[in-house]
Amino acid sequence: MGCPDHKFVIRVFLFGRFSKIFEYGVDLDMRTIISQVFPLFLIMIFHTGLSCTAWGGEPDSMWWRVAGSQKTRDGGMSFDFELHMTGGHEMPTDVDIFCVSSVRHGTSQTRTYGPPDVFRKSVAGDSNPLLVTVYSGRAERIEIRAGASFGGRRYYAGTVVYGYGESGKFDPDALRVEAAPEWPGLSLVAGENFYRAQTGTPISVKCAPAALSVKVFENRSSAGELEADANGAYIYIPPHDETLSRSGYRSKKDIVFEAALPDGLGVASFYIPVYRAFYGQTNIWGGLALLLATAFISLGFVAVWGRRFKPR
Amino acid sequence: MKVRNIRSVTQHLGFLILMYGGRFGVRLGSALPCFACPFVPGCGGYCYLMGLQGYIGFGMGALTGVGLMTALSWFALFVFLVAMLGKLWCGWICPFGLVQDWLSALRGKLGVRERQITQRMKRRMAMVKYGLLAYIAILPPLATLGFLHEDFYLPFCDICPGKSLLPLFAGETRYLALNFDNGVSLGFSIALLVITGIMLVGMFFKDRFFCIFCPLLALIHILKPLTALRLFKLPEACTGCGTCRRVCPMDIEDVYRQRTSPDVQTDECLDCAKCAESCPADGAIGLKFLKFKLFLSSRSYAADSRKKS
Repeated sequence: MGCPDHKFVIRVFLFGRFSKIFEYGVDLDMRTIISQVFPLFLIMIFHTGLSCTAWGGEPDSMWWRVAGSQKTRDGGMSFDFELHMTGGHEMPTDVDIFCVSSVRHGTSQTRTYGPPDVFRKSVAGDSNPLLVTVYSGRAERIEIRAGASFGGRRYYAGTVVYGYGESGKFDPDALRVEAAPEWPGLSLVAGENFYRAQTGTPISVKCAPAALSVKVFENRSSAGELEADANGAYIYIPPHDETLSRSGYRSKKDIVFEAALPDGLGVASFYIPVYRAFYGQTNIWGGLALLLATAFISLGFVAVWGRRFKPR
Repeated sequence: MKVRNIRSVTQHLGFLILMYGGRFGVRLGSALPCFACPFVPGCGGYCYLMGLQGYIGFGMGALTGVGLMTALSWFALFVFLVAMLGKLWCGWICPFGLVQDWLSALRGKLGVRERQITQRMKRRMAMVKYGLLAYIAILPPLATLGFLHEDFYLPFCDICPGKSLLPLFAGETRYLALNFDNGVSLGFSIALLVITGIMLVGMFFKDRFFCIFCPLLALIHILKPLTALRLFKLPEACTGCGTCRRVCPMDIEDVYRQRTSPDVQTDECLDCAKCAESCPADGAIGLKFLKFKLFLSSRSYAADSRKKS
C-alpha cells in the first residue's frame, strides 16, 4: 500500500468546491473568490506538499539513500548517506551500522572481489534522516547495513556503493570487526554488478529468509508489489523516466525495495540509485538512414566536384 | 623485411591489443596518443582525448591534492609516450588509422583512383583540428560549471567517428542509433552520424582523410620539440624527383619543397616513412631516434620495393 492518489483526492475536493461556487452562479464576486477559492488553493498546496507518511498508508520502514559522493584531497572518496525512517517516527538512537568492504580485482571484464573486510561505523545523533559519511580509499564494493529497533519492531536497511579511492587508507571513523552480524534482509542477487543501475534494466534482489511480501518504491512513491520468481528473486525493471532522460547523466531516482519479514523479524529495505539509461531510447534504423543519406550526399559531392585525381 | 611489412604488422598488432586486449587483462591506461576508443567493449586502453576531456571537465572538482597528481601523472605518461614514439602512434599503431588504410586498400582493389584535395583547401581543413582542440578545452568546463547541459561532458567523443565505427569491430552497434534521451543527446547523435557518413566517404576516396582533422595529431605536434623520433631530410642529397610528394598519404609537399633544413616533420606528417621508403636518392630522407638513424632512403631499396609492388 503506498500513498493514496493525491491528484484524485485533490480533484474531488476541487470539483466539490467549484460545484458550490457554480451554484452561486453570477453572484460569484471578488469577495467570494478571496474568501473561498483562495483558502482552497492554500489547502491544495498544503495537501500536495505533505509527505506520504501523513496519509498513514505506508508501512514503517528504515531505508538508505545515497545523497552524494566526492573525491577527497588525499585521493580517497567519501559517500554521504542518509538513513531515513518513515512512518512519522523519530530515528532510533541505537542504530548499528556496518560496512562490508570487498576489494575489486581484475579488469571490468574479469572483475572479482576479495574476501570482505568488515567495519563498524559509529554514528552520532538521532536526526531523521541520519547523516552518515563513509570513506573509501580503494577500488572496492562497499555494502552498508543498518539495523535498529523501535517500538518493539526491528528494522534493517542495506545498500551497495562502488568506491574508487586511491589513497589506500581506511575510514577513520570505522572500527574493524571480525564479521558483520547475520541480519535478515534483502540483497542484490550475487554475481550481478549494479555499478550504475539504469532505467529499463532489471534489478533483482533476494530476501533471506523468504519475505512475506516485497514492495518497491520509486522516489518514495509505490511502484507496486513484486512476486518472487522460480529462484526466489524479486525482479524489478525501472521504467524509462522522461524527467530523468531530460536531465543530465548524474541525475538519479531512488529505488527502495521493502520486505515484510516473517515471524515478526521486522521490516528490511534495500536501496539502489537508478540513473537514466544511456542509449535506452534509441532508434537504430533512423540512425542508419541518416548515416546512409549523408554518405550518399557526400558521394554525390565527390562525383560532381571531386574530379581531381592524385597522380600515380 | 620491408618497412611497409613491419608497419603492417605493428598496425595489426596494435589493432588487436588496443581493440580486444581488455578481454585478456591488458590495461594500457587512458593516456594513449592514438584512437584506442573507450567505447569499444573490452578495449585494451583509452585514447588520451577522453581522459583530457574528463580531467578538464567533470574532473575539475577533483583537481586538488591527489586528484591533481593523478591528472598530471596521466598527462606526464602521455607526454612520455609521445616523446618516445612521436607520430609513430599515428602511422604505425592507431587502430582508426588502420581502418582508414583498409578502406584505401579496398578502393585500390576496386580500381577506384584516389582523389586529391588542393593544398589550399587542405590547409583550411587542417585548421579544424586546432579548432577541435579548443572545443575540447572549452566545452567540458562549461558543462561542469553549469553553463551547459551535463551531457556536454565528453563533447569530442560524442562527435568522433571513431566512436561510431570502432565499436562495430566488437559487435557494438548502439552508437549508430539516434539517441532520443534528450535534445542534447539527439543533437550529438545526429552530428555523429552526419560526420561518420562524410568521413566514411572521405576515407574511401582519400587516404587518411580523418587524420587531416584529428585533434590528437595536433596535440602530438604541439609536443614536437620533445619527440625523439623524427623524419628528416638531407636537402643536398635530394634529386627533386617528387616521389615523396606522390606517395605521401597526407599529400604533404613540405618534404619535397624543403631545400635548406633537415626538419621536415610537419603537423600533418604521420611518420609512416612511405616517403623514405620510396625515395630513390641515397640518404635523402630518413627516420631517426635521437641521433640514431633507423632508416635511410636508398636507390636499391626503392628499386626493390617498386619491383615487388
